[in-house]
Amino acid sequence: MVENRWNQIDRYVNGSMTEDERTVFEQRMRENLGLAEGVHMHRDILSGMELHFMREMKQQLILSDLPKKKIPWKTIALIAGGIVLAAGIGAAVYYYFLNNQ
Amino acid sequence: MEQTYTEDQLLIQQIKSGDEASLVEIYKQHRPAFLQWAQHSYQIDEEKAADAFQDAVVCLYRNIVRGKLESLTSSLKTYLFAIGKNIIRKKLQQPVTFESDELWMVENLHAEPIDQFATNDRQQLVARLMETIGEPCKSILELFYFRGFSMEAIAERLQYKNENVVKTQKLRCLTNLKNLVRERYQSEDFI
Repeated sequence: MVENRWNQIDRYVNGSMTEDERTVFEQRMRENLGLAEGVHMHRDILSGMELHFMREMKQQLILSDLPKKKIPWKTIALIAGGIVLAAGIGAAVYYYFLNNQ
Repeated sequence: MEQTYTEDQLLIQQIKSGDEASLVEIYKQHRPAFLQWAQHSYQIDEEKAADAFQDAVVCLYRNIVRGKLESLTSSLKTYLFAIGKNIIRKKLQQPVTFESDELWMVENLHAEPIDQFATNDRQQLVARLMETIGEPCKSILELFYFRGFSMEAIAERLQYKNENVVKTQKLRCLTNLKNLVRERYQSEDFI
């Protein structure tokens, strides 16, 4: 089976070809400018991907600097207390008028 | 006396096996000392020192994944500071003096500022396109090319049937990306 050209380029760029394969491949690159451009493009794609993932990793580090958001229990307790108090006062006023009538 | 740096070696092994929390641990552990040292030594503000340190930790990660820190001859902190020093030097475009062991490190390790990494428009274009490629391509390409996972490990992590399925999917992802780059790179933006 003939190996996919893109796979061959990938193996050449990541250095996993044998010495013989490499020599033949480099000879083909000299004769075929399209293949040479394919190798150039593959290197750019790998570098571009690398750049993207490096930026992402840096962003994760920056995010790890931020203080973790704490649940504002104090605020929640104050609001809940306020609601209970208001309901209590409301009920007391309601029954006061109800009894007076 | 030869030191073994057992704890640092353990952290390196954990990072290599895909434990991302260990890298954040290293980052948090050495950040205060690096910032203090960099601000004092190079008269830079905290923001610039932090920026250089973040780049240094990312570079440290790349060196670990590429097997350049297999056996430590210094502590991880020494490596990290040497990388950080080189990054500050390049960012400031100023000469910085290195100790002899640090010089060996920066010559043999990747120690570049991230914003100076891509050298041409096509690489920058690929980096932008990567933000749009979506899953599963993003994860497969990241695990294989950036995190150094084997096809077998990727199959396990992403729950594929076997490594051959991953290989086929990876080739498909690369071909799609290549076509996108070809299409966009030939557009008027880059002529």
